[in-house]
Amino acid sequence: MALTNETAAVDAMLDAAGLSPAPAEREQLLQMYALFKPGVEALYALPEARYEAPALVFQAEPKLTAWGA
Amino acid sequence: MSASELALTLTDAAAALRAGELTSTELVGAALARADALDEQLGVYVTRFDDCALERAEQADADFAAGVDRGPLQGIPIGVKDILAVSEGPTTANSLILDPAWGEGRDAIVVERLKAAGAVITGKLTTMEFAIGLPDPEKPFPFPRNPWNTDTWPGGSSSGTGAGVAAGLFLAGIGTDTGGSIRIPAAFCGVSGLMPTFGRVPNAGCAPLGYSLDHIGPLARSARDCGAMLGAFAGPDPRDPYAVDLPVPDFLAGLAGDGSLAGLRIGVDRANTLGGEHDDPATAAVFDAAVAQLSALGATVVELTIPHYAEVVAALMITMVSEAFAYHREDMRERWGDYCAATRSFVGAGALFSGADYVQAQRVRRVAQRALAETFADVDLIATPTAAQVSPSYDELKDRGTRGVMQSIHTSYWDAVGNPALVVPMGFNAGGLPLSLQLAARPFEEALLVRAGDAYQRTTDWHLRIPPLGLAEPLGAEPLGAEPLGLRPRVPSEELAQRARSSSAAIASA
Repeated sequence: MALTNETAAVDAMLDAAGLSPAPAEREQLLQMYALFKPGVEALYALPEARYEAPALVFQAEPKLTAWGA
Repeated sequence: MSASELALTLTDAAAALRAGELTSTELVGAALARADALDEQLGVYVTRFDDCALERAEQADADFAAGVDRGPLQGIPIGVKDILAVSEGPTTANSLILDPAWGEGRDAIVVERLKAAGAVITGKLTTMEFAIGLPDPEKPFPFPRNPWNTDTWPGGSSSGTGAGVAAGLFLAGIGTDTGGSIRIPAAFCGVSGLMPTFGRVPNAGCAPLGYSLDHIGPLARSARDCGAMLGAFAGPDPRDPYAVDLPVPDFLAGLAGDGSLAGLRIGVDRANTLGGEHDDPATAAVFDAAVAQLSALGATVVELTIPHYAEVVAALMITMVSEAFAYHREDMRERWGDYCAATRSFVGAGALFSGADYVQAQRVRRVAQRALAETFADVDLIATPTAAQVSPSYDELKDRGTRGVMQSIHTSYWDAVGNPALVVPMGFNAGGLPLSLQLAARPFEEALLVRAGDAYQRTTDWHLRIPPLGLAEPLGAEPLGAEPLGLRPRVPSEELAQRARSSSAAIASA
């Protein structure tokens, strides 16, 4: 059942992203998803992360100069 | 020193240039001649700038004659990974996807600074496509090979930089590191590599892989050479929003002493990095010897465990493929088949994570940064093997897959937390392939890494060993380092091409 769910999830995400891998590549991505999924769940299970802010920075007034400008 | 005896280190060459023992024209000419002889086997260059390089070498000689000294890179042949823009030629990122107009006629900030320092850029160097994946024989780009054994992978993604420095095609080069792409080829090719702190070097003009993970840095023979390189191109620039506005120290200032490491505390993590199923049998003992050498130099060595190691490695992967997929999604929809097979696999996986997964990965990165700061309150450096295995053969890559091999490689943690890390050669396995020591430091303490690496290299000579270049030749027949660079007979190009096709086709089908 879990495998079926994972397969459906991967197919749905690939479809939503607009990707059309060949069957062998889809199989690779399925395997990768199964490989990564425990790692993703482990991130949510880390107690220290419960109230942690992400390592993202957003500046309301960024100092930006385009490269090549 | 004659031009035919290309100096091994940038530092030695710089001294020879200033002593009048060598001209830049001779040095660059010798480097280009070596590329003529070896590059068909090694697949280092995507594009060469011979004419421009010789013109710049002549200019460097004229500057020396006029008493103009722009620093240690003046007149030195240097290669640049082909994901950074260099005005002399196209940037391909080893991909059919990158718009040729991107970067056309312009220099990345790092390249601007190299040129201002008088460096002679000899060409653009092989990378994995957009700095991820594996070489793809179906695509029209050079197939990189390791000069220690050309049946093996030189590491990636800065493959050409690592192989080129090791084989003496230039004295230093530019690489980029998102999960280990400076340090892995440095380790597998037996040279030194320095990943600076995230934000120390501006990335503008470099095709991105992971925006919050990409680090530009040097590969060279020695830690001292890496420090000289970094000093030439570190520092903020308003064109890079990630570049950190901090003064750039003299990374070589700490090298004037006696090489003692007294007073330094070095933490050693074996638990996270040794004992794997695919470890090379020599790694643990060679690593122990390297740590003993650091201790003999005066450092206090303590055992520790790097915090949240597995979680951070997972966070790195989620972050990298998510950021890469944002950049590539539209092209992947329209031009899936134009990407290399391994790129499709890696970057396409970015479609499989949610926005929440990405944010959670960033929360874990912050957790790890806090914990690591506590660790670094007790030690100055952390030492591990760069990888627990040597350069894998292309057949092994086919069998285990890149992700399997990456389980034996211990670089990606440091990309995720942003701390700087230096790798230096520390010995060889029974098959004569290089093993590597990794040292990591607090953010913006690259100078300490250079000092520790230099101290280690003053008392060892692993970084000066020269690779034999014959295809799959055993290395035990002659003392390592006994042979001048590049004098092995060339393998017939037809045979080389056939070997490349057969091994690479097998990988692509895995």
